[in-house]
Amino acid sequence: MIAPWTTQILPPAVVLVSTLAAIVIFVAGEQRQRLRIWVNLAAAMLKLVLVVWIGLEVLAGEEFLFRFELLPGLELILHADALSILFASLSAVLWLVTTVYAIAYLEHSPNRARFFGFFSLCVSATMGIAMAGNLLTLFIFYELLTLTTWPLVVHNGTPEALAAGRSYLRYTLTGGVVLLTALAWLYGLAGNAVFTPGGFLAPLAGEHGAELRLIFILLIAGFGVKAGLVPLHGWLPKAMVAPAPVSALLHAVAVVKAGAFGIIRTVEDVYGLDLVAQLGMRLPLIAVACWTIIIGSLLALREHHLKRRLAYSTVSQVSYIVLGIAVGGLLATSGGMVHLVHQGLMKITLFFCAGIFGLLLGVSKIDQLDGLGRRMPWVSGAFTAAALGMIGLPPLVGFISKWYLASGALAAGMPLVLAVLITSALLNAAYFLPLIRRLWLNPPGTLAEAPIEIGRLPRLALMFSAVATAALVVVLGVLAAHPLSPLNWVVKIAQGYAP
Amino acid sequence: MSALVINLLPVLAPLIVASLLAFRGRPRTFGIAAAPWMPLLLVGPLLLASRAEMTIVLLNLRLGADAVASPLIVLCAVAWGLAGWFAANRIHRDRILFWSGWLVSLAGISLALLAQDIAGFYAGYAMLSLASWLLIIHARSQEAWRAGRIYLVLALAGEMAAFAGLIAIVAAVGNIALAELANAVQLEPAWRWLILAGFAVKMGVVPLHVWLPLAHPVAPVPASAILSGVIVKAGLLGWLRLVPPGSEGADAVGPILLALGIVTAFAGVLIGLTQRRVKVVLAYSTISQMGLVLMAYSAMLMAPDRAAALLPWLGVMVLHHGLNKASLFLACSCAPGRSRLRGLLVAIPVLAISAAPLTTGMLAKTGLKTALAEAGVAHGWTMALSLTSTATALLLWHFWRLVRSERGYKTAHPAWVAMVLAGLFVPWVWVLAHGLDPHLLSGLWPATWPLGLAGALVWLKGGLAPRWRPGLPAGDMVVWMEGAARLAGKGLARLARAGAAPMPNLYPVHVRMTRTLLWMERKITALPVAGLLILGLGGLLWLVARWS
Amino acid sequence: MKAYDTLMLALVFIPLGTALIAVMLPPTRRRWAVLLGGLAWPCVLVPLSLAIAREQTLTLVFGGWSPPLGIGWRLDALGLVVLWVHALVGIAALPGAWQRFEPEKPESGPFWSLWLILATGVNLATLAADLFNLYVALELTTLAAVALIATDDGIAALSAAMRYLLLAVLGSLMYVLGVGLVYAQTGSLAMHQPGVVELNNVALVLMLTGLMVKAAIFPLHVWLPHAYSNAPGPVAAIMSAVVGKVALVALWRIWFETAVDPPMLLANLLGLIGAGAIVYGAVAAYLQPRLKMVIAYSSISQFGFLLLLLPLACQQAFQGAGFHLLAHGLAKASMFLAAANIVTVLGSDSIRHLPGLDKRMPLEAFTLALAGITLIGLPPSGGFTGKWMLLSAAWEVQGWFWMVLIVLSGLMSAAYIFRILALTCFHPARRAVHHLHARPPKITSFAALLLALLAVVIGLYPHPVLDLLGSGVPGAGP
Repeated sequence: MIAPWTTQILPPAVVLVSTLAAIVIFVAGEQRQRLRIWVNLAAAMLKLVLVVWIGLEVLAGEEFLFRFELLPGLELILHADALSILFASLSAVLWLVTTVYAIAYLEHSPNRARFFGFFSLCVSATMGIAMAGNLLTLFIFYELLTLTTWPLVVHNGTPEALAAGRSYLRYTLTGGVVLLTALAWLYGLAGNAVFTPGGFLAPLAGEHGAELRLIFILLIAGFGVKAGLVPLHGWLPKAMVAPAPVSALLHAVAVVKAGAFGIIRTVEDVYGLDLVAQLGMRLPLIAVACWTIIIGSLLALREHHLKRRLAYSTVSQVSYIVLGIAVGGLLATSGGMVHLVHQGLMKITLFFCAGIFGLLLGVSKIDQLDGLGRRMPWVSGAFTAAALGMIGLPPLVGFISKWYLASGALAAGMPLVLAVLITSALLNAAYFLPLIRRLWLNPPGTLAEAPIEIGRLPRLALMFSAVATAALVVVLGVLAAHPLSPLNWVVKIAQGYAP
Repeated sequence: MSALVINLLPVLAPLIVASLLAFRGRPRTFGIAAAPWMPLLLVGPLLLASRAEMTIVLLNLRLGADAVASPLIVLCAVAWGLAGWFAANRIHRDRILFWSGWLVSLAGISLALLAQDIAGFYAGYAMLSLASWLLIIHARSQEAWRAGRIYLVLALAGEMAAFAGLIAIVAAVGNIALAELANAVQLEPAWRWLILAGFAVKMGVVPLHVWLPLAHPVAPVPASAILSGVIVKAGLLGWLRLVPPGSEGADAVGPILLALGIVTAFAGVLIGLTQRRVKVVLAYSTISQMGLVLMAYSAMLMAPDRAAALLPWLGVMVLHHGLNKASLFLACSCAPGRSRLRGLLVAIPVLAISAAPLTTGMLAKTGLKTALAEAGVAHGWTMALSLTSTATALLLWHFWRLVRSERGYKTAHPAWVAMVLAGLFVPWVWVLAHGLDPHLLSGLWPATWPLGLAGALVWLKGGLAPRWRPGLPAGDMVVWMEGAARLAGKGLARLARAGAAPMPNLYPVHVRMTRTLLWMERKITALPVAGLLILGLGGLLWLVARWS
Repeated sequence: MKAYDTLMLALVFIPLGTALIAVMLPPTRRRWAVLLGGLAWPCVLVPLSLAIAREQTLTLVFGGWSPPLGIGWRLDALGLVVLWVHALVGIAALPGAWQRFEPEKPESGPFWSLWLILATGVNLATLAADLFNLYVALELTTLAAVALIATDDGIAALSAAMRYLLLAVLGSLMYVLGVGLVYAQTGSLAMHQPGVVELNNVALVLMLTGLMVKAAIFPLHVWLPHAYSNAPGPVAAIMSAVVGKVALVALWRIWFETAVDPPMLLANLLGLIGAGAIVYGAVAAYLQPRLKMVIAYSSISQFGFLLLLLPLACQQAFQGAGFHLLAHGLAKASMFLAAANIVTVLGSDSIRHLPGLDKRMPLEAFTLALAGITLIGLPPSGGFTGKWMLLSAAWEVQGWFWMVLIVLSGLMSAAYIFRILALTCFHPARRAVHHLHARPPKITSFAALLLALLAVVIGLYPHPVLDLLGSGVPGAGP
């Protein structure tokens, strides 16, 4: 048992750890590199410790709640339930790994203080989203996430980066505006209500059905921009001009998962899946998710630029989460939620590897991958493991998510969803297997540029990050039935929503 | 604990050895040396025959050798082991590629053989399919890539279809033990067909067989041996595990499968006769023989209460074909025409597969006939079955003539010899161990007359004169499939190009807007205009106030 | 009551007194007068705030004769908010003005007098309880502002000042004409007694139009961009924070407290004009090639918000508009102060010179970013609070158009803010820019930063202000 004041102070503490780190980094300036590295790593580890601590307490049944009144009738609420801890722990772990990666990757880049400052702020915002206890708090941190990730997207300062940043802002700010409208409307209808498993809007369904429907569409659209639902995904591939740690973080942890998380909270904790079905919104949501899954994969097939192909793959895969939630039932909900973790791990590994290839060998296109297995076996191995996981090869984590999603779809009586999942798996194979083949089985091509030399420690750090996440991809799949695996945690969460 | 280790070892050891190959120097040498011995680890679980459950692995993994898998385990241990021995000194190029594919396939098939739950079985099967691709594309020539591509497409499609079907089971009852599957679940026919079709790809049932004739010529000889000998039978295992005889509604599909089996049996031979390449002919022979296995399986489906008794006969068929076909493949690179001994070493399996009297082939045929009789199949089928023997004999005669002109190594590899001997004796040992009645005497005439007919046909046709041989490409229907795929690809590409219209260039709009705005500002900044605006607005407000 | 009377008198007479003294004192002693004038009267606000929190309004009557006969002053919650904005911005602008126009220099005398007269005028306008008093205060403010604009060097400043003068005088004329009509009709000029003064439409319209010119509402805004961008930084800060605002506050008072049941159609029309201002200002701000012009057009856009109070009349709208006034005043002033520093260092505020600013002048860049957050209305800043209250008000009166407008305005503001931020922080610096002047003292940068921070922080803790505003709703709405 812990003291009551700790339950109040821990959630904001988790959010503020990286804010403080950011302030220190900004104030310290560009020159203090050692300090910056230490602050980054210390903050990341501290955050992980805090999240684990909260997680263990939540497991033991402790409740965490922090309230702050912003305006009369508007409260900022931070809490820690099992779903928060799932997202928060994913973010914390991956932030730590990405920090190590980014420190090594940006060894010779300018503007590192700015980068790491906004990087830390971005994680603060993500933690805020994870710990949000009501829609307002989620929205506030969601907008803060937009603000803090934009500088990361345009970090390189090239015309492409700035254009990508403009596109990113256009999409995400419009999404934010849509969310604000929905939020204000919802507050007008239902007042300041906190996230409740099963939703709190059921009493209003009688007279305000049409309005609830419209609000739902607005909420899904607002969150869908970041989650990359087609056709709101246009910013994702363009944002690939950002440095690799940014792509890794954005696509595995922060932005797209925040969008998906927002949709999970909306469907499960604001509306409740039963109300969603009652309003007739469940099938359209499933349809949108399926559509995104297929289109995302089809678009990925066309791409010859490596990171863009991975971006479209993200678009497709994140909709698995939405699909799982929308189909409902214990199996599908578990599958969708666990894919939050699994896809994060696999995608971050892929981006890490793509980043290493890009940095050290100047590889940006698919056909430059020829023969890299010989040059960089560990990184190629990590890439292969993650790619095979994405295809759904057992016993990797991707297979576990697919298993649960597919059985959940059939348990809910939706064989068409199963068809979509299978088509998607085949398409995934179609655009990932050629990459693996190129890595290992094609004779090495000539490099576009001479390989860059970086120090031994940064090189090790880069490889360690990629290999560590790849190892997690394998281990969490093989040991999926372990009581402490994400799968079991997710099943517990799903049991709370869909007994 | 020990059960756990013994059951897990055949799966993990090949993977560990395969990872050793990544490191240059000692580990690699050790890995290549150890690789051929790996299949022997399968003997352990076979002898132990006990279950191990690992609640933290995968989705609660269960391992153990049972009666259904035991013939395949024996086959795998023997054939894979001997082929590995063969490969150890006959493979010199791209050794890491070969051995990694070899070992991971072995791990996959071991897992599939030993798995006692659905997820574990599927995991092994998927691993096997993917790793076999590495063996097929080993040569890395144009032809090998094409064969690999077609194999992969079909294998993945089949795997996905099977996955769909087995997920239907899982959705109903979860990841149950395979032993309880028969009674636990009622599948709708659609799902059952998906499972059957999915695993049928591996077996080479027409029309999903097209990858076999393409894959065999390009794979290295030992790889072809285990491909035809062991790997295709994984499909059978899939059928037996997931659509077991006795499951609800399974008997309804029996007759259809029976018909499919006989069609496959004949089709394989007929197309095989048109081919000129040795390994392609053997591939078609495999297809044909798998049709017979399909018939046995369908018989088991149609007589579920006798299924347990028929299982050993199925085992005979599997062992017989696997070992003999493997030795025929090994023969392809050993220049059998060179010496009498080698000729003999080829003749024995040829006769066996043709189901000559007193050979293991006769045993297999007997088993099949027993099964059909138990299933209450009409007598006409048995007649058709005998005709397949004729057809097979013709095909193998064709093979015999082609293989004798093959060139290869100067010596007969001991592994090849061992394989032939195994093919000769192991099925008999199996029959005796299971106390089956080989119907030696009663089976003699039914085994002889089809061969006699074949011989007559050969003599009549004068050794299959080239006139009537149409020029079918290996893989026959695959050419149409490829054409269709190409058209679809073009269509998709056109759609994609249409959908990816470039964004309009907004910069001139921006410039124009700026100019317009600045012009407007300049105009209204002029005092007279400003004054007029003020008065005008005031007037407007007054009008509105007046009016309301 | 007596104590508060003195305090209210101090609000006007301290700056007025020190303005006169500043002219009369020799240059070496001038600084004391300036300091007294600049820093003394804000101190008075603290006890006044406590008083207002208790009593909602404070009135001061001259000569014992209460209105409508005599002249009176009245301080309510809204006025208090305006005064606070004035005080904070005045204090923050002081270092910058001090550095530019050192009191020791002989030629700075007029500047400081004008500065203090402007302060007097603004305070007087806030306190005025009758229409004529208001007119006097507004005239004082305008004249002082015109002169202050002209203190900058160059023909551009002079012509901007001239234009402002002419248009403002025209506005004043219209206003005073309206006042005259009111007096002729009703014999009374008291502002805060609804129903006593019957306004016919002509008078109302005249006064409204006059005030709209002064407040630079589109399309009568033409003097503002050039005036703000050519004025010295501190002057622009004060003007954007309070000078336009007092005219708008006066407009509100006349509408809600003086006019009897103004027609809803007129209110909607005025709201539409406000909408037009928002859109036009935002679009124009996006297209400007100079930083100070961007900020100026941004002001035009944000003033439009304040007109939305008229169609949305209810308590939440009042709280929202008042809060927006506060937040925007602080944010805009900080932007002008930062821009002034930028001009000092770079010599020009052309956006071509902005790239690389985040390295040269990180404090200014950060100030611009923070102020931008408030202007866009991103949570949890003060701008968000104001917008949210206005949104709730729109929801209350079921005004969908206004809801959509408020929500979209955030997007439009984001466009020009992010353009500036992108140029400042993320474009590669294109060429070496020479430092033309000495670096401005750090205190000016910090002052600007503090204002911007304050604008964001009040969003986190808005209760005191909101409660204050909520209690002092000027007799309007349901």
